[in-house]
Parts: sequence; C-alpha cells; structure tokens
Amino acid sequence: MFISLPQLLLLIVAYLSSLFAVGYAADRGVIPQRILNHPLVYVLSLGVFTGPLAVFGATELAFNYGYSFLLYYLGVVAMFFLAPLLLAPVLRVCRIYQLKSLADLLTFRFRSSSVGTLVTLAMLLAMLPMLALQIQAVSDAAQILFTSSDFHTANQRRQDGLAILFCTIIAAFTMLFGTRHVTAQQRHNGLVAAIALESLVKLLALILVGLGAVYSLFGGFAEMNDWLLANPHIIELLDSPLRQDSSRALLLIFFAGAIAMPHMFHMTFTENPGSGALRVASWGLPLYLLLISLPILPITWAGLKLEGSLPIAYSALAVGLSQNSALLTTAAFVAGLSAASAIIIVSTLALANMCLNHLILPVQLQATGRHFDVAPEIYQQLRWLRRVVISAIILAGYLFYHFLAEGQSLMDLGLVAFVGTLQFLPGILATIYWPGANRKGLLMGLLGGFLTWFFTLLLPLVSDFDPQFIRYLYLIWFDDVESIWSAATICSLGINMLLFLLVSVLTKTSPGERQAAEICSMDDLNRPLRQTLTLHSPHEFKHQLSTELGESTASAEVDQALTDLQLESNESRPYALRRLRARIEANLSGMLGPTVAHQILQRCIPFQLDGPRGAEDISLIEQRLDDSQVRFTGLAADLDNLRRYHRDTLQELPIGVFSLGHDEEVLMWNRFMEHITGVSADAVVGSYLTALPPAWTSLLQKFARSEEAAELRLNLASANHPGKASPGRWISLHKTTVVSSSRETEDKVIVVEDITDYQMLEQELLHSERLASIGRLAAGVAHEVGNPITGIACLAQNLEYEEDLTEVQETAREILKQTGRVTRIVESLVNFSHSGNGTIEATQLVPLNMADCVDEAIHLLELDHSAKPVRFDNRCDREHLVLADGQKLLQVFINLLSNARDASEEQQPITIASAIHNSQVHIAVSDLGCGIPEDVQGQIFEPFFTTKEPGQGTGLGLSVVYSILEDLGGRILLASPPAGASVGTCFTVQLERAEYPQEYL
Amino acid sequence: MYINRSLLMVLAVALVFSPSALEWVNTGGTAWYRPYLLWSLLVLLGYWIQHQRSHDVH
Repeated sequence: MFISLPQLLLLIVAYLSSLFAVGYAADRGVIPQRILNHPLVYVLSLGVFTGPLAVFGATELAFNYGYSFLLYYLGVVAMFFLAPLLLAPVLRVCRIYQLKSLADLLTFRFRSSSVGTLVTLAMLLAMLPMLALQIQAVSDAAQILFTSSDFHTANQRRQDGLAILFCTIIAAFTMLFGTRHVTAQQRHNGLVAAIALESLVKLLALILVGLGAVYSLFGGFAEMNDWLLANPHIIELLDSPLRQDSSRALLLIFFAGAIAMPHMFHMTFTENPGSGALRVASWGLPLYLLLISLPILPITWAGLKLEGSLPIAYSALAVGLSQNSALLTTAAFVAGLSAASAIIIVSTLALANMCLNHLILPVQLQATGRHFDVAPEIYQQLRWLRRVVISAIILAGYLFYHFLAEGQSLMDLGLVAFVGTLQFLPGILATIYWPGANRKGLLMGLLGGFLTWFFTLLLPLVSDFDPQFIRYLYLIWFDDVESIWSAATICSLGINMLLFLLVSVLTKTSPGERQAAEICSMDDLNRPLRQTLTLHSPHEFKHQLSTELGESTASAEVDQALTDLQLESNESRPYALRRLRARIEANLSGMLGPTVAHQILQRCIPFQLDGPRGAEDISLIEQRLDDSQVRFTGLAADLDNLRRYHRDTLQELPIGVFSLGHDEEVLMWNRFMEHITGVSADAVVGSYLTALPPAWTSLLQKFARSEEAAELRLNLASANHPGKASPGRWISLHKTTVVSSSRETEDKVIVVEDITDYQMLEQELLHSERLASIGRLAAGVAHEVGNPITGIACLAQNLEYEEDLTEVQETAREILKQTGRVTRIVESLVNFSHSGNGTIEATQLVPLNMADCVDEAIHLLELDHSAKPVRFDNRCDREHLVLADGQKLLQVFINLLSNARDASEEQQPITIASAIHNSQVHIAVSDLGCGIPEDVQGQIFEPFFTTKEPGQGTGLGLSVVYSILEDLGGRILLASPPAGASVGTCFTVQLERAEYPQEYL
Repeated sequence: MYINRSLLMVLAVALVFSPSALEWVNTGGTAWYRPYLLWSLLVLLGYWIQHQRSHDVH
C-alpha cells in the first residue's frame, strides 16, 4: 500500500482547502484585482478543459490512435484560433445581455423557454458521463495508490466508497465556491483564481511526471530515443493514425466541446474579464495545451515499457510507482485530482445555473402565480436553491458512475459526453451566422440528435443495449465503419443538422426571434426599438418591480442598473429609461435567466401596446457605432466614414437642425441648436421638448404640431434670457417629414434659422431709408417752417407798436396759429423718424385707422415742395381699422405714395381707397402714371432694384415695404396696369382687419 | 462584418499545406516532437494575428 485512506483523504482535503483559501483570498480582495483580471489568469482558468482525459485518458488515446491523441487538444486550439469568428460574437452577446450559460444564450436567441428547458435537460444528460469520468478517474487513481500494481487484476470493481467520499468533499467545496454570489454583476474572482491555480498545478505536475518518465525510467532523452529505435512497433503505433472520417469526428467533437461544454462556456464567457483577454487566450490557451500535452508521449511510452503493470490510462501513476517515488506518484495523483475537481466544480456550477434559470424558477413562477415569494428575499432563496441543485447534480453524477456497465474506460466516457455536447454546435453556429434559424428547427434538431446519441452512445454505457443499428444507418452513406462512436457522431450530428435546417426553412420565424437573431448576428448591429414606456421614473420602476422581486431586491437592482449606466436617480428622459429597462433586464437575466427576466420586465415595466411599433433608436445605434472597438474595413469602413461625414456636416451647420420622433422625442440636436438654446445635446437628446426652457418649448412644440411647413420671423421673448435686457432672438422655423427606417412612423426634421442679425440689418436699412426720406423732405420742410416763422416775425414786429388790446390779442392768436402750424410739421417729422434708431424692436400690432395714417403720409409728402405737384385723393373709409404698427405702416404709405408721385404726371390724381374682404382690409394705392413694365414686375420688391434714373432712387423703397408688410403679417400685390384700365399702377396692401378696443367704445 | 484578413490568410495557407505537413509529421520516425513544432508555429501565428488586430482597434 502506497498510501493509507486517512492520508489520502487528508491529501484531498488539504489540496481542495488550499484551493478554497486562494479563492477566498481572491474574493476578499487580498489578491489584487489587476492580477485577477490579467489575461494570463484567464488563460490558465481556461485550462479547466484539460480534465482527467488530459492527465490519464490522453495516454490511452495516444496508445490507441498515435498522433491522433493530439486532436483532443487541437480541437480546442482550432476553436480559440478562430476566436474572432466564433467566440468573440458569442462573448459580445453574453456580456451585453448577461447570459451565463449556453441555455441562456439559445433561449435568448430563439426566444423560447422550451428551448432553455430542452437544452438544460440535454446538457444534464450529456454531462452525466463527464461527471462519472471525473469520479472514476479520482477513485481509480486513489485505489491504485492503495493497491499499487495489484489494481489491474484485483480491482476492476467500482470504488464506491472512495467515490462517495470524493463526491461529498467536492460537493461541499463546490457549494462554498458557487453560492457566494448570486448576481451576474459579480465575477467569481475566487473561482477563477482557484481554477487558474489548478491549471498551473496540473501543468507543473504533469511536466514533472513527464521528466520523471524520461530521466528516471529511460535515463534521459537519448536513451528514450534508443529505446524507441529498439522498439519500432512503438513508432508504428504513432504512425498509424485514425481513418480520416474518425479523426475528423474526433477533431469536431473536441472543437465543439471547447464552446459547448458547460465548464468551458462558463470560464470563457461568464468569467471573461474583458479588455482583450479573449485575444490573448486565442494564442495563450494553445500554448498552454502545447505544454501540457508535451509529456503525454513519454508517459505513454513509460507505461508501455512497464509492460502493463497498470492500465495504459494510468501510466502517469505507474511511472512514480515503478520508481517508488512518492514525489512523482503524488504529482500524478494531484494532477488527476486537480483536473477532475476543476471540471466538477465549474461544470456543476454552470449546470446548477442552467437548472435554476430554465427548470426550477420558471416552474416556481408558474406555481406561485407568476410571483416570487418576496419574503425571504430572492437572493437568499436563490442561494439555497443553488446549494440543493449542486448536491443533486453531483449525486446524479455519482449514481451514473455507480450504474455504469463494467469495463468503461475514461476515453469511452469522455467521448460519449463530448458527442452529446456536440449536438449544441449547430444551434451555436446558427445563433451567430444564421438569422433564418428558428426555435422549431432547433428543438427538432436537438431532439433528433440527442435521441440518436442517447440510443447509440449513452444507453449502452449503463445497459447491454446493442447499438448496431447505427452501423447500418451509417453504411447507407459510407463504405465502412471504423467504430460505433464515430458512426454515432456523424449520424447524430447529421440528423440534428438536417432536421434543424428543414424545419427552420419550412416554418415561420417569429418577430421576436428575428429581432434576437439580428442582435446575435455577427454582421448586424443591434437595432434597439424606440418604444414608449408606461412608467416615467426609476422610482416607478422600483415600485413596480417590488411586487415581484421584493422591495429591497427591486431597489438594489434598479440602483445597480443606474450605477452601471451612470444615470441619476431622478432621470426621466425616455431614452435613458429605455436603456435603464434594458440594463435591469440584462442584470436580472444574469441572476434568473433570460426567460424569467424577460417575463418579469414585460409584466412590471411594459411598453405601451398601442401606437406604432417604434422606430429604431437612432441615437443609441449611433452611440454604439461610435463606441465600437472594431475598425471597419472595406465597404463597411466607407459607409462608416460617410456616416461620420454626414453627421459632422449636420452637427457643424451654421444653422439649427434637430429632429423629432413621432412621439416628439428629440432624436438629434446639432451644435448650432446648442448655441442658440443654451441646452446641450446630451441633456436634450432622448427627452421630450418639455426638457427645454419654457420659451423654446412652447414655440417649438406649437410649430411641430402645426400644419405649416414654415414660420418666418418669430420673436423669441426675452424670457429665454431672464435677467438680461435682451430684445430676444428672431428666428425662422422650417420643417419637413422623414419616414423612419422602419417605415412605420414619421419623424420631423426642423430647421431653426437665427435671423437676429438679419433682422438688425433690416432695421438699419429701414432707418437709412427713413433718413433718406427725411433728407428728401428737408427742403420742403425748411420752406414750410420758414413761412410761418416769417409770418410770426412780422406779427411780432407789429405787436411791438400795437396798443389796442383787441389787436394785440388777435396778433397773439395769429402767432399761436403759426406756431401750431410749425409744431404740426415738426411733430410729423419726429413721428416719422421716431422708431428710426436702427435697433430691433418687437412689432407692436395695434388697431389703426387707415385713413388717418394715409392723411399723415400725404401731409408729409406735401411738405416736399420740390417734388412734382400731384393730387392725392384719400378715399379710405374712416371706419376701417387694421392691425398694424403705426410707424411702420406710415413708412409703407410714404414709400408707395412717393413712388406713385414719381410715376405720375403733374396734377394727375393718386387715389387711395380701402375695402373690406373677409377678415382683411385691402388698401389700393392707384396712379395713372407710366406703369411698370411687365418684364421687371417680378423684381421690383428686390432690394436695390429701381427703374428710376441714377441718383433718383435708392432701390430700397419697395423692398422695405415688402419686408414691413411681411413683418405685419400682411401682403402686397401689384397690378400694372390695374384690371379694367389701360395705364397706371395699383399696389394693394392687405392687412388684418381690427376693431376698436372695448374701452374706446 | 469585421473580416480578420490575417486569420483568413493563415487559414488559406494551412489548407494548402496541411497534407504536406501531415506527411512530414507521419514520416518523422523517432522525431516525435515534429507535431509540436507545427503547433508552436500555430501559436506564433496566433500571437501575430492578435497583435495585428490589437493595432486595428482604436
């Protein structure tokens, strides 16, 4: 006896305790996070793949299949070598949606809880031989240590007692490792550290045994070479590889195992630390596997040299035993123990998660009326449930081992498990590359593949069922069959893929599946929909979720999601709330599985069912494109550059542009909008217009809802700049409609033109024009003022000598009359030039008497005695009132009458008449002058256009009239000659009719 | 779809040379380390591809 039972138990407990100590230290933060997150630790943790098959089974494979034993490693090498094509897309989806197992991934992709249930059940079945393999490897190795070389002949029976002990210990450790955290947020640092340490121990121990075999048994490399030369049949064993179909099947099952085995999926995706660790693993894991496979051939040859004192699978133990070396024997045992314990711990944890999320919780939800029992809280419930499930899985593994048929080698058990998990490969590949696949196809394919596998490989392990039928099935297509397992591999996978393909093509794919397929598809960016939520704040989220999760859990989950997204707790933007909902679902999915999480979110935080399905969330898509870590190539790069160019063009336009969704959510807000509103894009994109300052909100909301395509010259009240003596901004608004990419809704693009500067220039122009008019009037005014002044002077002279009081009073009255005349002239001028300071003022629309305004204009024009004498005839109705600004309207008539006078002959009449048309007053200014040629009629309202001689006019008169009337909300029409006449011109001014205010009446 | 051109190139080369490589391994006699030489080459190529790719990422 090499070792006693207590010593062996002590060794096992000491080894696992040291692992747990490392794990505990990692969890407590004793091991720095930068070490735990180092890609090397990740690579070592992926060494979990190398189970007892790598330590013991590989020698059996090498003995039977020569170099083909390397396929066990090369399958994984190929998978990681192709990581950018296969693992990276899966990792992306798993990280975003917190998917922790293969069942989670396939349920998420195929949007079906039955997929999760079937995958979990199938995975449990497929992993039973794998768990039995670990138990058998450790118990056999332990038994060999007890019995030394007698094992081969005397102890073919199962080592039940040792197996039970091992299972009990490993179950306790698995529970310790696996139930410390229940939320997906927390990476299992302790588990990763422990498994990485196990991989290191395994590697060093196996290399030690290999060196022991070479130097201790053979005496060195040269001697081993001589021994090989002396035994050419050994070399022939190496060179007699498997037939091609078998070797391909072997490569395929290990290739699939690298992603489908629950422990590999868990370590690769769930425990991935990010930051490019997978990229390092794509060459790091192949390097690790290279190193751990190096000692296999020397160990196998050592086993052969020892001439079968032990089964060839246990050659590693035979090396130490034959040399009576405690170090080598213990190293070989510890290598096997660490390999087996790593697989049992990780795969049991992964299977427990799958069982919880896809078997137990959905059933519990059904049983409790779709609600969790909120007291005690969900985290505690989950912890206990997980412990129970872990125990049950290890018990199932032990029972399978117990009922195994006699004579099953490690290799047999391993192959059955690997072929079982191979059945998930079509589903995984379709998840990434085939958006057309649907759940019915997957379910049928899995059922077909697994039933074939069950009857050909699994059932014969525990019964005397003869699977010869598979040979006949195989021989339908192939000439010969080398082994049952290779025929079963090809047939089960073939049936699986055929059913998957046919059913998927022949049946319909649901919209949910299509959306999930787009998310998972590698060349398709996730297209989130901009749906409307019924809740409006994180607080409401908490309240609703608490009905299902319990108050503290709901609060913790919402707070965690807010922290993840760096959002405030008072967030109310619909865009942010949608992201918050998605994050909560992802986090709950990590804890409860995607099916349950999806159902809870649908019930507690639903989207509005009525209205359009929702357009794509453009801003989120853009953000994801910007955050993308991949540099696009080829056409994608060109398109991305084009997108950036167009985006930058819109962003940098010197004009405000923003777009609104059908629900008035702001989708885009360019930099000029930020400038004129003072509201940043970050603050407003994803919000409703109500998030803007009140002045902007009312203005933009009114325009967005109106039927008008444009609103010109709007004055934004100075409420926009409280506390500032700002005259406010002048803006013009234009809008157009854009059909969203989903073609279900219409978005609006609104252009905001800041015309404040233009308005200021225009005011200056008006002022200049007014000054020009005043200049033209100046001579007449001087003459007009001069006459009464002369009269006053004469009267004052007479007054000096007048003594009669009556005469003095008469003279004073005359002087007052003359000064009144002067005052009236001056008042008219002041009145005309009153607003002419060149600054922008809001137009004050008040009811005005048209006839008075025309009188005032005529009076001013008549002051100019140098001008042509014409007859102004004001026929405006004294009762007609218009809504206008007095100063501006006066300028309109001065310009129109002045033009009419210039066009008329001496003493010709110029008629001004008014008429009511519906809600408007039409004022016609007609003359009998030379008229305006038809070919220039389209240009006369343009600035600086004149038909007068040089020096006679500025060309601004009519353009100013046009601009003022636009400002007043009126229009001007030209008819030259007027209808029914042969000569002359008629300008018709149309203005809104007004009534006197009530107080005047 | 992001296309890893280095990876595709290596796969194409591997496809072309795999029969010769397998023959070279199988005719090694006592040179049992030959597969490991090819494997080492694969590791180096993997390192090179990922090194290239990490330069691509911005």
